[in-house]
Amino acid sequence: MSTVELLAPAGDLEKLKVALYYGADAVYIGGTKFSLRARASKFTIDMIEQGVLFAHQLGKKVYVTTNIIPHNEDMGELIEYLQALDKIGVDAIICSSPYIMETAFTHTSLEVHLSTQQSVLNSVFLNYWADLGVSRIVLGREASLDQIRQIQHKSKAELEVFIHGGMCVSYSGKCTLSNTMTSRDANRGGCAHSCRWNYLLRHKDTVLSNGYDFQMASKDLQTIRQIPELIDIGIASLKIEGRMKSIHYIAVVVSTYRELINDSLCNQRKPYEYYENKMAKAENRETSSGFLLGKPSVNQQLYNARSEFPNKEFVGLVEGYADGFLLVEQRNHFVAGDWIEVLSPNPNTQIFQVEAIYDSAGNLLDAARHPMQKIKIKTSVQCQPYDLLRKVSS
Amino acid sequence: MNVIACLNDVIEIEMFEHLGIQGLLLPVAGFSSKATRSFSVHEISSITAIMQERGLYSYLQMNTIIHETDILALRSCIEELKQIPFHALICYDYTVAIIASDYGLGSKIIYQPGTQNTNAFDPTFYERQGIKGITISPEITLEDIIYMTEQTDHIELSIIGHGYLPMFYSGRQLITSYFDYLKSPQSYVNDQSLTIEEEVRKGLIYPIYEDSFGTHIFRPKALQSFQELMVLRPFITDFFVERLFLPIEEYCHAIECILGKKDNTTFLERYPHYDSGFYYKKTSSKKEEVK
Repeated sequence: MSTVELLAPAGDLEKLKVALYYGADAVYIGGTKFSLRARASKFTIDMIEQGVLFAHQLGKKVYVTTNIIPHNEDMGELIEYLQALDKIGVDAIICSSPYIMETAFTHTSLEVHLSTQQSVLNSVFLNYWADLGVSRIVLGREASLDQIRQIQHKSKAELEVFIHGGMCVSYSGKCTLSNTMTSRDANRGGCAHSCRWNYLLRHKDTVLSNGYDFQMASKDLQTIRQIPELIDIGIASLKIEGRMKSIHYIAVVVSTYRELINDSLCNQRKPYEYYENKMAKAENRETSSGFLLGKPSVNQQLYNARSEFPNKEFVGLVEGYADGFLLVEQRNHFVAGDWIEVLSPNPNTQIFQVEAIYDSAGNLLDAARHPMQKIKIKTSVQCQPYDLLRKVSS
Repeated sequence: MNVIACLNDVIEIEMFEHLGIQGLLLPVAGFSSKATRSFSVHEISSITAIMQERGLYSYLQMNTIIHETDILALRSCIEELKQIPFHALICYDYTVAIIASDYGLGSKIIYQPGTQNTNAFDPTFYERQGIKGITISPEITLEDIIYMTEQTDHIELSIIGHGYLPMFYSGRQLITSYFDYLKSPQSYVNDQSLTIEEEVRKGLIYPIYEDSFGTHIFRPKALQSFQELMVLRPFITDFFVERLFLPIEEYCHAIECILGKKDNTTFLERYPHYDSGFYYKKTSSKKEEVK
């Protein structure tokens, strides 16, 4: 139905399925080689194949990141790896190294997207890559809506634009803070997020900051109010960041943008506050529109705020329903009597009160208190696998 | 190997000539960030003429990120530069190379993106683009640099081998934003005396610099390559000497050491704020592999 792709991150197979179930048209994942975000790049070839099969059954796509800026030692088995991705039907790879890109063109039929690591921010650079055969460019995050519109107007390739999630405060690929400060290579997946640390600011010998409160971190990106314009511009793919994020975060963010995109395409958009309220249940950092409305100011920066607030509302992942019981994998504490909201791809939410909780052996529990424990909840509300349960109130 | 210094003022040309350098870097106004000085096309034209008379190469530098709204001005600038007989045009954003090629200047381009040229494989791509050279990124080891030089035949390789090297470039004005957050607006734009110090590891101090293009953070110690030059000299076409934060006396002393005119032991005793960068420091993608 949609003419714009909603692209979601997936750090593992479960997240991949959740993202697609909640409305993503495509996911991007990291293999064990050649990918940034080392901690979220654990897909073996077998796992990638499983993900591709799952996605393709739904008519959706899987892109694999091969977006490191490689050193000599990283290039081993590149051809074999790319050919394996090609063989299992990966829909595209996301590259930043020209060598990896050319190897894909020479040895595979893989579609190639250009990573934001190249910080493409103008149509000249974009069309240069398009002329080389790149079908899609992930724009740098430092473009305004006006600039994006101008670029799209002249573009020979599809554009992919970040719409949500954490942002490098540096131009992507142009930061080696982590390399210098921790010996972890930011451009090979080892970023230690040194830009989010606290610092003392001095001018010569005079301290200018209030102690160590000088920070550089940016607020996360959130673009609910810019989505209609991005659709109008003709952006091919709207990208959510966050391969390390939880399934709850992915479900909420993906389903909210899905609903907003669908509503916008049908000219039935609700007030922005409706989508913002939904999104707020997933957000654990302050957000801003980044560069989309112009050069960022103090309002786009994060100061003296805890960077993350744990969200305890997500209490379980539904695995099925049988004989009057929801089969659930527990995630956060809840008790009988709590009111639970069902989060599903259906925008119309259901709410029910927990009558009783049992463990998998059928023993009555006074509370669900063990993360990942398999439990059963007595209720007449029939949910589907991958529906999520959120505690509304006690 | 050409040793290239950065020019701040036309009156310095004679001084640098006497030092024995082969070329001077001229940041182009409007397209140069973190520059101690930049020059208009008109100034570049006259300076290049002087340098030609003295047998010095002029290396023009454009090291900003190019946004869509910069394209027209960039084309216009490069069209004007075409009339000047400069030796090389150093670019940080490859957009400059593409537009320079449109004006027949592709063969003068040295691609110096800071972080991207980290392996022996990508240079083959740039060879085919017909540019003059690439600058090897500083975050790889000497062993990796040597391997790159061994594997690369048809494109010139260069390094920024001396001075305070940048390790972060943000399009945000982070110093200005911080003072706005404090509700105490102060301007430290183009001020070379700012530093930041880590909270956890006290004493680790990094120069930070804000200009109209954003914010730049630099390595805590300046890089020196005196010993490494003995190995690299035959394979490196251009050796750039970064000037930012260095007093002129120290800068000239360093150049004399690089050119072999002075003993570097004395230099390093006198100026202890140097290290060997990543020449012997291998990075990893995984925390557990970091030594």
